[in-house]
Amino acid sequence: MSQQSQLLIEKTSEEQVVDAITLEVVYSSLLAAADEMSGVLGRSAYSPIIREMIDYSCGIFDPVGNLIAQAENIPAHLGSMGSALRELFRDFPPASYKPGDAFLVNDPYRGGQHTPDLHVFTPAFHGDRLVGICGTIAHHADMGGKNPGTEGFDNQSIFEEGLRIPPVQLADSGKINLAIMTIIAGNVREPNATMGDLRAQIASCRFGEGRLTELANRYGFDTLLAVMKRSMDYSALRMQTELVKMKDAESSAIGWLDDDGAGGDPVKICVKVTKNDQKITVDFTGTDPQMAGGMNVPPAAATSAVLYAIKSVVDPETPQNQGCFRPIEVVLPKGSAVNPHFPAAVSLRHLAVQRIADTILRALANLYPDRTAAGTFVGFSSLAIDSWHPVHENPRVIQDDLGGGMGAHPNGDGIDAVDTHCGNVAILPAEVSELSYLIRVRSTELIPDSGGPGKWRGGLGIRREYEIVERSHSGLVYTEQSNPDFAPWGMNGGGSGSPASIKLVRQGGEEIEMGKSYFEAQPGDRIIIETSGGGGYGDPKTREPQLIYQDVLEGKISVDAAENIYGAVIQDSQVDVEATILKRSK
Amino acid sequence: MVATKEIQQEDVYVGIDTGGTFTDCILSQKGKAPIVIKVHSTPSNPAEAILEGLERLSKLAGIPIQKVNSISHGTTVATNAMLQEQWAKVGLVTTKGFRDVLEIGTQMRPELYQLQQQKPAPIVPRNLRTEVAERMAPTGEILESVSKEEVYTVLKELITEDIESLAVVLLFSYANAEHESLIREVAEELAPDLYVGISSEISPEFREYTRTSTTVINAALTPIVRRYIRHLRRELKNKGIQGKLNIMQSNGGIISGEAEVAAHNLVLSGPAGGIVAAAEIAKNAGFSNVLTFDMGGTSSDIGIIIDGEPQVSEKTTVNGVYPLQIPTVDIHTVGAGGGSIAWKDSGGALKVGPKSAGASPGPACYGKGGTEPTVTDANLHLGRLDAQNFLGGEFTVYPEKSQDALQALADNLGLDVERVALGILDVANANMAGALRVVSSQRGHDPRDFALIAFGGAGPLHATALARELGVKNVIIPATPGVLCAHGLLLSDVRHDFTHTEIVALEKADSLQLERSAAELEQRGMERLREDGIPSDRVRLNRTLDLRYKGQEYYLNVPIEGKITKELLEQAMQDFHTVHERTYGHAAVHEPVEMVNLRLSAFGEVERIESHPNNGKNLTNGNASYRSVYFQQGGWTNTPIYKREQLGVDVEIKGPAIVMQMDTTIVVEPGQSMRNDAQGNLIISLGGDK
Repeated sequence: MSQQSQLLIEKTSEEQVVDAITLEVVYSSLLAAADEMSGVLGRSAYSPIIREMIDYSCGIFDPVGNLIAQAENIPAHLGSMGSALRELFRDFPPASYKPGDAFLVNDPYRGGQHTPDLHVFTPAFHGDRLVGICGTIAHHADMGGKNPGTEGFDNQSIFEEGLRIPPVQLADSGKINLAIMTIIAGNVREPNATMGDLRAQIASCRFGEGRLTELANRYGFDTLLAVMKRSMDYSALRMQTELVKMKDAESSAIGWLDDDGAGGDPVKICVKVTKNDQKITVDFTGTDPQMAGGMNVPPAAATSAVLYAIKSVVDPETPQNQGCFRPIEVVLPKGSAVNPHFPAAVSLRHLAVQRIADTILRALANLYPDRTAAGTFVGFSSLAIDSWHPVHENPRVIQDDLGGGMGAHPNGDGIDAVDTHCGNVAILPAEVSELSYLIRVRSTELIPDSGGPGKWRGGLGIRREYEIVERSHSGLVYTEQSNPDFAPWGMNGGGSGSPASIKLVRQGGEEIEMGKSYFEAQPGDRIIIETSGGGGYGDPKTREPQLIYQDVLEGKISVDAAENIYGAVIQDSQVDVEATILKRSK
Repeated sequence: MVATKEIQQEDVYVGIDTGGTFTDCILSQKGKAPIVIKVHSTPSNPAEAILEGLERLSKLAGIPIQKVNSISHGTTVATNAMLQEQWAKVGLVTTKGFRDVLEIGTQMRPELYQLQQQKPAPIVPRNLRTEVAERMAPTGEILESVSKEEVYTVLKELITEDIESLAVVLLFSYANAEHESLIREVAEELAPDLYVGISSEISPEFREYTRTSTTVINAALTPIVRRYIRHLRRELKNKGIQGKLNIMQSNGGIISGEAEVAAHNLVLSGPAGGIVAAAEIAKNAGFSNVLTFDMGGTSSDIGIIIDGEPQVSEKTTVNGVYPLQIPTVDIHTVGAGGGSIAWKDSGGALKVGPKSAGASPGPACYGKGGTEPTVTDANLHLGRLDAQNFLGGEFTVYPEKSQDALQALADNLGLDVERVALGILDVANANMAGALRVVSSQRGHDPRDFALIAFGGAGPLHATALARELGVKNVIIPATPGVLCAHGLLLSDVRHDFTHTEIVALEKADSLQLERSAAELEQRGMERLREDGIPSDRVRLNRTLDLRYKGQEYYLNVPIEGKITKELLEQAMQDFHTVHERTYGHAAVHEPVEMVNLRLSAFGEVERIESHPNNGKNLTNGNASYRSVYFQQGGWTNTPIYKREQLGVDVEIKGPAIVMQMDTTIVVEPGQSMRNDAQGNLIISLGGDK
């Protein structure tokens, strides 16, 4: 039994003709307004995960809930606010909204992503007419639950994942419902940060309201609404124009998760992509049933991954709005890992989301190699530890996610050491870690030879070492892609990248492989995370000798790999470029 | 003949701004109108154009150049090195385990959706980044001492690579600079001529990537900038010019070219002068809150002035990727200029830029083979620019080629040609209005409360329409909009900035200790100003605190006045709540406030020369010529054309009108009115609330 996810709403007011100029002038103002909302939220937020790691997005919707403009910081939020807004509309129809109202939702079974992602929505008015809705989604440092940071790979159900908030009214005509705030504050590990971040979200929405009202004053209510509608046609047309240039075909790919989060077998993601004229369908039929652990993917998150992959290959520059969905159809089998039944746990859905994006791109790479790249790091290697502030001594949760190598492609090497695909979060600065937590970062380095070899080399992974400074700490670490079979795949004869790993090294020297684990650590104990390099493209023996020389000089590949994998001639621990050219010409 | 006798320097001040195409020069003398010229830049040796400019100025003024009291210079040497990534060869020493921080950066990728993207190469390649074993705690306590032997070994190896400069960045060095200083001592011993920049001096703030990047940019630019300034000083000396040489910095302040210039402070040396001049001119015209708009051929620079002060950011980004932690005048670039091409995109929207026709082929009307319509073509077609008198008449243009290019786009869009030409201007203006709104809202302000000052070749053409779009009520066009940056060089004070990082709850801060730290920064500031030759009665010291709510990551800058006491800190806390509310729309008065940095800006005030208005006549409409110009309000309209020098002081003239001057054209729309003020600025009033 499969269900097609509901991507389209788009029932809007009657036609008004909008020409190319009015469209650009007014729509660019809407996009700028979304960017300004993003500035307000980002600059005044409390949590490092919002401010420092930029894990939030802001959007503007039309009065019936179509996404019109989105300030995107990470693709994981692509188009996902809309599904939460539709659920809000079911409980609180737009006709009941008053100026100053605000609404809150995070429930993954009511259009949300995972419980730490709080959505705030507020209506915007022109006179007494609803002119649009402003929305923000932000990843809060903690929403309660059994683990610091709320996320848990082995969670058995949503009830272990902290506060689940179905659509509720957070403010009534400007008056905040303090009961809701109090309940949240009483259930999370860092109440001050959470309250501060929520205030920043509301302020961002209020700012957006002001901009929408001004736009309606400046251009007229009817013109503004007509432009909103036309902007969706615009994005749809851009996608469709590019799609018809691509050949019609069908392709499948299978991607694997290391395990189900609860110690079980690898989990299969099946993707079939069918491209037909202006349409593209992504069908997940065949994907394994929902998992016992916490990596299940609610439909909003799966849809974001689909949109990310399609947009990357079709037209990366299309402004994000509801129209982008028009050419796309997604089939998410109910009860599978990508559309689980209530109350499956979903807090670590982003690990599976990365693998979903990777699998779709693998299917697309078969059809459109010029538009794609080899496999990329999708392990999402992370830690979350209960720590304390070294000076204030208050308990704090430290979180860090590491990037890795991007896949090489027909036109060049993959980028070293970046966050990939649906993520784009910043690394925690070592000095911030030691200033704010009892945890010292001892090194942050590129890993030589981690990138898949090829004519073009995969990007390198990151190795980071953390040391517990004082007190006994408990926490969890997790990674995907630790199984070498699931490492970033090579393309067109290129080799795979290295797998990811997480180790705990006791002060005495004992090494424990962690993968996905809980741990207790004492001062002097170290956690070492290594992420994957990207896959290579093409035969490494055809890599330009000058590039191999440079890689060896910079220590990005070893002398051994240069000689044995890339076929370079080595002289005094360096690549002899001339001799290598000569050798290859024979 | 160079006179052999002693020449007394008079009160003659020169400003010289080197740009990509022109070097703008201005000479100012007490009691006389300033003299302004443009000479062609000489990119391979910018000093050539500077000397040519000086000689021509001296001839025009009838003053021997030896009499010039001071030369203030805006240079693009650092900017160009940066844009072309022609860095000096730098070696980098870091704490063991952290040499890759420069390359990994934030780990964020430049583009979200490009699978085949590239990232610019790090300024220092991995083989020139080296490590030493050592470690400081955040408190400055030494956890692991650095070994002098290891430093010797590591540096000797780097020096054999023929590096031109050395950057040293150790963790928490801002809390204890001992190890960095030791590395510098060893480097100076091994290679006395090598420039060594240490992060505890260049950028003493926490966050290792930003500090590394800043220190490395400094090291990568210093040899280039110092070579240039030494060369320029020598050339000036050869001409017998003894006057002081001042260099404009990115923070909008000048610095003596005699002292060792901090090269990374020069990356926005050119445009900073424009903002400083805009602030001063607007203040004298009675406007203290001003948006600045400088439109050129390929892009536009916008900025913001609040309470008469150009706004300064504590951090900027070089080439869109490398963070640079220095106070920089807030300038944002929008990719729309006169040469920007208008096109229909695949979704059916009319876009303007970012592609530009540049100088070749240039806009369609240049007749050099350009077939795509540009912003300039739209202005020409609508009668805002004069085909008979383009760029002062030195340049032949072909209006029919604009017409053809616009017609083709109009057919493609299914619109008439005037609608499209006007639409091109509307779209370009909307892009700029969007950027100006962002700049204002970032600081918690509404653009409608501001005046707009326009300069650059194309700024005054678009300013009134842009003001209408923004709801701005007054537009200021300075007397010399084409050379405003050079003008600003004569209006800039000497400026040095200093930072002391200390993260502490404001309530628990030791005010005595903080006052000692502030006094220490002030002493360093006074010393630098003394080196610049600033007398103590011209010194001004500004203290500020970077504050945030405990738990926030970023801070707001709050000014403080006077000795630091418990009461002063209490006041700063109150001010912080207010600024937070204004900037972000919310505040939390019951939450603890944390101090992050204490900052000091040391200013040496320069002498201002009185500017002089031009002597316009009392003009009536009868003096004007007329031509047909297209306006959104009323279509084709027979419009009076004035020459700027004809405009009398305080005579109000109603729009529509076009005002021509050598370096720009000014559009006044129907319903607006203009008048020349006593300083020679044209003030255009939009009237009403709309």
